[in-house]
Amino acid sequence: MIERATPKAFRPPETNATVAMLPLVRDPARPWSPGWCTYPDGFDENPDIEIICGGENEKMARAAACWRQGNLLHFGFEQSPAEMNEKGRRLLLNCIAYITRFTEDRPIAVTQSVFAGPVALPRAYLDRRLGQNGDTSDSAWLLNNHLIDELKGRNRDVVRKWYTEYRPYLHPGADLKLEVDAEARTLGAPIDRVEFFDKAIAALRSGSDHTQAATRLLARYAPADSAHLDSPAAWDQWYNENRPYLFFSDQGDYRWYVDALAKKRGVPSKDLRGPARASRP
Amino acid sequence: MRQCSSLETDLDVVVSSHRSECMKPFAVLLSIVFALAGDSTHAADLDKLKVLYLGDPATPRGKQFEEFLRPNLGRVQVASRTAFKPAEANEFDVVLLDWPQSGSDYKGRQFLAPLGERADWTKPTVLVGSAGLNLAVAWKVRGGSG
Repeated sequence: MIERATPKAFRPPETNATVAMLPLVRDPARPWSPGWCTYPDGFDENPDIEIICGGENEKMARAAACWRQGNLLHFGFEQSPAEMNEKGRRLLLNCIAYITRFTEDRPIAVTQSVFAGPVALPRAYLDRRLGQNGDTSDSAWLLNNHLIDELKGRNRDVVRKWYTEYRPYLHPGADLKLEVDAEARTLGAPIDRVEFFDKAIAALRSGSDHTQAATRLLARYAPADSAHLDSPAAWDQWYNENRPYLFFSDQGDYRWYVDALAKKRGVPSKDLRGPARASRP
Repeated sequence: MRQCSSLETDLDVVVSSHRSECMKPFAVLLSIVFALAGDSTHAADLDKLKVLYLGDPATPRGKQFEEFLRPNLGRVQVASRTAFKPAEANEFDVVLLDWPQSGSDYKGRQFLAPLGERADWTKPTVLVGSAGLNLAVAWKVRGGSG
């Protein structure tokens, strides 16, 4: 390992002048073609993803350079083996050997890239602005105009408190900016927690004024392959069968998914992470 | 080389300049499995692996990958990424996809993956360099933010 000047994008959380890094090329001093790394927002919620290492980059300290989603292992360093040093070549070989163990795991969530066209952005961007800083000044491109107007001029503590309360109900509106899902809020069904299904299915079963709202909420957020479910009993059965394997993704489509590998193995998704998802030793 | 921008501070700029080239070949410890850079894989394991490298075999880069992979793995075949048919991967344990950014904009055009459809691809795969970005755009998997 060598000490490299801390990249600007690493601050915060890094505070030291240097960061320990492992050079993967023979001559660390010369300029090298940059590779590709990825923001890790939402990685912890996705059971099919694990991070192997980061890289020196201009995004953030936690950006992922080598990481796995299902049967895909991202080796984001651009250099060819002829340009790498022994550590770099060994990392590549070990990545090749490692991913061969994942013959059953697959990428699960559907996450349209921002580079492919307009897409709803994850709440992680608001976490930093509203949740941590209580500052709405740089949120107009993320939050719908009505909410911006409502929060403008409020002090930071009030904004933080509002965000804590409403974050579980934020979803993309027609313009893809985030807005409060009024139906979810009315039912007290946080769209990103498994209690969402308890609340929505209970409302469905109740036959009350909320039945139609519950039907719409389930269509909006439940896994796409549950669209055929047409009765409270069918939803109950589905929920009982799938509850341990459900996870929510706000990386594009704001929807729940079933972790098929965890379900196949009968292991709760939260307990089937990283190397445990391999199919070969 | 373009300067990397922050998605969060300048979305429009980044969306129009997807060649955000921003990572240098220095690995940073983030969590757990950094031992992968060590001597954790036995030579015998590598000797058994059948690997298909998909890239541009005639280029110096393609030849450098081939020259490195052949003596280090059990069986290595190199093939053109552009002419590849997914069924050709059946007999291999793992595929290396080397797919550089083309320089043109992703927006508004159909972007097809060399590996075919996402739902049909089952082979363990290493995405080299910008292949992770390209495949993320084509398949709507993670890796397309930045």
